Amino acid sequence: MAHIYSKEVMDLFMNPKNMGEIENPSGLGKVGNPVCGDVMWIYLQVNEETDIIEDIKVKTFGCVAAIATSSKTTEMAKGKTVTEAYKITKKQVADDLGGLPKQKMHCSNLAVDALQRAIINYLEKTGRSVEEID
Amino acid sequence: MVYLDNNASTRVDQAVIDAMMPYFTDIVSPPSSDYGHSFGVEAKTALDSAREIIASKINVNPSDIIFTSGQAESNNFAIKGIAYANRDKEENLLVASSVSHSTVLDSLKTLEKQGFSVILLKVDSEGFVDRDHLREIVSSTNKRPLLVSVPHGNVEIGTLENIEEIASICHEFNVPIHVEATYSFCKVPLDASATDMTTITSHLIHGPKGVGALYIRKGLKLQRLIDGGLQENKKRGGTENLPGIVGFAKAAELYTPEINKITQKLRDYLWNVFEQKIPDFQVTGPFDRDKRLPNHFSVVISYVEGESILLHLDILDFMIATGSACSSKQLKASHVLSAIGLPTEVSHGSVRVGVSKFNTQEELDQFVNHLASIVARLREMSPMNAEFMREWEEMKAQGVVPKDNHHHEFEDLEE
Ligand code: FES
Repeated sequence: MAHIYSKEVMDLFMNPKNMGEIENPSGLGKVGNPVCGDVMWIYLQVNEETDIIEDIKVKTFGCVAAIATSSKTTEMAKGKTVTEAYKITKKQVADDLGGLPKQKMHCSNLAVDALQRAIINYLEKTGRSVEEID
Repeated sequence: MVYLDNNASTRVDQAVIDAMMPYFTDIVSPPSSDYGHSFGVEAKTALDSAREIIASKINVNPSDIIFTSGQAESNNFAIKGIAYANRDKEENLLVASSVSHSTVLDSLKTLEKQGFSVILLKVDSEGFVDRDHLREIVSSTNKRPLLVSVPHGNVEIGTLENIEEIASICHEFNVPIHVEATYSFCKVPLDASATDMTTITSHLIHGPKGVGALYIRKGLKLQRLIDGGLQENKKRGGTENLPGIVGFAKAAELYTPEINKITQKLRDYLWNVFEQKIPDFQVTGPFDRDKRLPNHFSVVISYVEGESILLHLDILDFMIATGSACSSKQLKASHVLSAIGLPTEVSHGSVRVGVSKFNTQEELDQFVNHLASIVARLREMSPMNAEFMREWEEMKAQGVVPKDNHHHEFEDLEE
């Protein structure tokens, strides 16, 4: 089968990870708007003692790359502290996926954005700001 | 493989291939004058008879048919040919429907850069040209258009325009009309003699790719685009693509009204099954089935994205098309879906199907079943739903929609 996407992208697209939502999340990040195409919401369950992301879920409205990058980003963040997770870059996500077509690089942007916003939201809820971890 | 993208291109009929073969292997000469060697004469006879077949399909004289390399060349020739032939005139306005094919619109863009003016006609929510807007423009006394170009059948939303009506409005004011009939040729009767130019193509009727024609009304002045020979009534230089032209004529001959009955029946069957099995979708283009291309069905499915649908189906060996922004090179929604007033978030769910005589009802049943489960799956992971859309509409009304439009900032992503 001939596809523009890498095998890693197609695998995650077919079997996405961490899809769904978390009730009363410790942090929630919403990005994108449907006018430009895509919407991504990331939900975090964080252990407040250790700052470790114990669970993470995502909802995605978008293309194949958007679905694969939201899966990959959430997989990468799970088990990390919020400080570590905040540093995940779109390049790391894309590299881990065996690369993305140039036009689709921005989809990985969206996933990393949503994660960062969810972390900021968590920090705010626990009375901190992003400067403290950055 | 179940191929359901027959308004993009079609499988070539075996009988068409058989008809073409001798012109690859035996009669290899270019069509010559009647006084050349016998291969040249045979080639010329084949060319003439192909021209007659094609001309009769659209009710015009064979001598007014120019063979081209297909839709893009015919449309470029029609539009630029008229513009360049009138370069020195004061009037320099060119008009097209806003749902015209990109080969028409891009030709106009080029001309606009060269100093011509361009107006795109408004269309209604089903893609029909706004008659009042057309009348207003062609009747203007100080800026009469050099040409009006409209599609007969629309590839994306199936709209079948009433060409007779549009032509009579244009002709009332002596404005020539070009009709883009690529998608309707042989599928819907067209009397091209009522038009000034008409584009037709081979590869959508089970003929080969890379061949088409342009009907040009006798006496209409066009500047030719390809110099270098006396071929095609001195309007297009270059050796004719004889195997292609023979195949084109054979395909046109084989595409009888019977074929349309078959595809229309399949399309209507698909439409009915769709209504039973897919929740929350909206037909794009005319709802009246008789006002659509007979083999065409197009929809937008709510809360899901077209590229995702397309690739899921592809993995299951079903091939369809989408006008979603995510699947376009420029990440822009289809200009047709935008012109009929669909917001991008809605046109994201675009799916279109073109059936052919090679498809079966069983295939369509399987297709809709697969689609139903794909849509359910994608909706499960989508944050969008009816409630989201209501909120979204309110935000739009209040002008507080977030502005992180990442589709416009993809240039900065190389780092
Ligand atoms: S989500 Fe629109 S291009 Fe990836």
